Amino acid sequence: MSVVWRASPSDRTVLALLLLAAAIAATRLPLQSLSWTHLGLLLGFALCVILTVRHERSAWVQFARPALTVGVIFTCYTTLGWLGVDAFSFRADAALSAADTWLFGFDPSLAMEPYITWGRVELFSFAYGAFIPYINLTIALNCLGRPPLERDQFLTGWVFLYSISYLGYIFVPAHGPIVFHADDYRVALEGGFFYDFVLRGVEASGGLQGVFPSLHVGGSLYLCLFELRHNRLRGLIYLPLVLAIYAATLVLRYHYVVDLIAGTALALVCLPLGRNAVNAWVQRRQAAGLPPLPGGEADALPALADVGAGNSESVLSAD
Amino acid sequence: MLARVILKVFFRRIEVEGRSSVPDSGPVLFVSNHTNAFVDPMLLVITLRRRVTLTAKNVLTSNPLLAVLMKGMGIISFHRRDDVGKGADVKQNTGSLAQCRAVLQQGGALCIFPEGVSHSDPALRPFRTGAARIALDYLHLDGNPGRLQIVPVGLLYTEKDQFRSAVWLRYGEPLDIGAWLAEHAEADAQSLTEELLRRVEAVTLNYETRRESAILSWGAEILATDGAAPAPLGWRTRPVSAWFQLLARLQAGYRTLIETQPEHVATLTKRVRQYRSELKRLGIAPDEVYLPMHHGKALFFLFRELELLVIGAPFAAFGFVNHAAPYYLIKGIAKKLSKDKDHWATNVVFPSFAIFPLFCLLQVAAAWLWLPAVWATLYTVALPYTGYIALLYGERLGATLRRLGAFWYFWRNRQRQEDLANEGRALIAAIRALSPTR
Repeated sequence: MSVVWRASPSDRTVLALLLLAAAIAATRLPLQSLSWTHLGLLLGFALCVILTVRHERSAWVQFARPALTVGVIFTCYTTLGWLGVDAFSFRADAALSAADTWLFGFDPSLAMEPYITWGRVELFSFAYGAFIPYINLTIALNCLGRPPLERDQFLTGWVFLYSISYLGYIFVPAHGPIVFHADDYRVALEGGFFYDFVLRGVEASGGLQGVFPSLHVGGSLYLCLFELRHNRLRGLIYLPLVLAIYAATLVLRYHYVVDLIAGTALALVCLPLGRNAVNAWVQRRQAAGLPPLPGGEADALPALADVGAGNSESVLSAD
Repeated sequence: MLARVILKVFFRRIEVEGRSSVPDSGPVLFVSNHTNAFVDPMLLVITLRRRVTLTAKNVLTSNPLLAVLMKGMGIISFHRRDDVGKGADVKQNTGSLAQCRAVLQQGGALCIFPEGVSHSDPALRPFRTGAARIALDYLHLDGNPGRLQIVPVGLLYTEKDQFRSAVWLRYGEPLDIGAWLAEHAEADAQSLTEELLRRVEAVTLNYETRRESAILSWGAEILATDGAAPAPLGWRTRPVSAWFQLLARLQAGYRTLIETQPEHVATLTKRVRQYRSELKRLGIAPDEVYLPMHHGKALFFLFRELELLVIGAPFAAFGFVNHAAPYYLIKGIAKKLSKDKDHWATNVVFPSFAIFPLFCLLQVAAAWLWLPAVWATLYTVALPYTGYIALLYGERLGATLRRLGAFWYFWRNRQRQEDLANEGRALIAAIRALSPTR
């Protein structure tokens, strides 16, 4: 089994994404820091993947792989929106706004104006801002506290979701209603502590680009769906927050409704996609005589064997 | 729909085996063991993809609510000889039998409990011949050769008198009654009944005594731990089917070995009982004996459970406050009505059909009467949602406290943990060593 196939589906996806980003930066942009960022990320990540594949039987690999993947994906969040906006001259805002109008017969972002109040802006800013601790905590808990196979399925689906969304950021560059409709709004968004926090957060994480699809919606829904399946109580508890994030993206004018629909669809698709990709990878590894997962884990793969009737061995036989 | 919701709330887990072998159409007769009164037929109804006509004893109609329910569900009632004097008239069974055959003639499915009564015996009771007579009459009197299939059904409950217990529902291989009769030309109702009994026995667990049931259960609990640390809370639990399969294998070996090595089995039985008594006294589950005394893992456990329980507390509290009245009312009714184990679940499930919707309706109506529309809508949505959270939260809180208690006890008594773990592993090894194949 070659190094490429021994790398997990999530690692290969991140590598492909970084390769694409580096290629776009190299061909469409003059030499600038952004070009080097993606090239540097690509080389660094490729090196780490080779290292983890070579030492895949070491215990540290089970912690290093998720940490590395999550770190790179989050770094991309702050840079890929800019890449799309810088590399392509067209903006998709008009098309996205038109799609919303086609769906509803009116522009939802403008139609919401009469309902904007200071209190609601603060409330939804809290929900929008809570996205960051929610995803970080959920990712950490699922990477550290799930059985190995489930953890890899979780991580792979999550990487698929972010990677596909980043393609949207790159090839459907847009700034969101807050910029596109700036001249049309009659009610300005005004809030207090939480709204200020959101404004500073958006600025720190790459500014107003990266709109289609909504990763706030897709990311939080993906985590919630995964937990509803594997840790139902936590999934249920955070469900209202996820729904509030849906509303917050519209109230705060960061997304069009079609972004939310696309984010929802991606979350629904990536959940089984991640599971199936990891299962297929594990089976290929086993067929090649490798342990099911790197890091010396999951030799028995309980989560796979657990399906259907019991799998326990004969304990006491009457034969 | 309501039955599905109520049973899925009542049971933590419902596992079904062999549903794909049940014919989707054509006449089918289900014959099942009967250990959980009204819950048994309800489980069949909610797990099958086709409509099933149920049968019941006529004395149940003396309860007006049950009479309405039975009529609404099209249940065919039978008059038992044992109930003569309580309003039963066995002559009317001719009509009931004809009704059953009519259901089959229309290509329907019929469910019969041939034991005739729900019970808590460790094994199946003798089968009555009613099911076999219906099948034979359907073929011989009504001239419908070869189409009828009889499906044996096994209903296995982990703790049928416990809320949030689990059930394994097994559909056995259908018996093509036409083909069977072709091979058994001289068969009568009695021989067909014996065949049905054999087939239902094959999909159920039957013990010789309650003592045998208890000791095998304790042995299986110890074996199921595998001498390893318990899975973290919230992880997928062992399938119910695996538990019963373990019990079945243990029973098969036990019955053989008690003949060949009775002294050894007796000694082991005594050790298992002592070990189990000690764990029960300490309030520790068999798998918690192997809890790792690891700082990092303990801190991660604390963090994960605290995060969940703190964030979930307001939702759970709201759910508890809004559902406490119907919950405790039903609990009180069940406690008052239940004189034996096999009616407790029925006495919870059956009142739930009326009490929970009634309370919900009243609460929602009050919300819409007194609250603005937005808040009333929110309340209407929150009612079932937080109720479910309260249920899961209560379970998780209980499991967390229990595990914390076990951890704390072993933290202060390291030697005790080591002794118990050693004895647990020794028992597992001893039980396995008894197996002739290992």
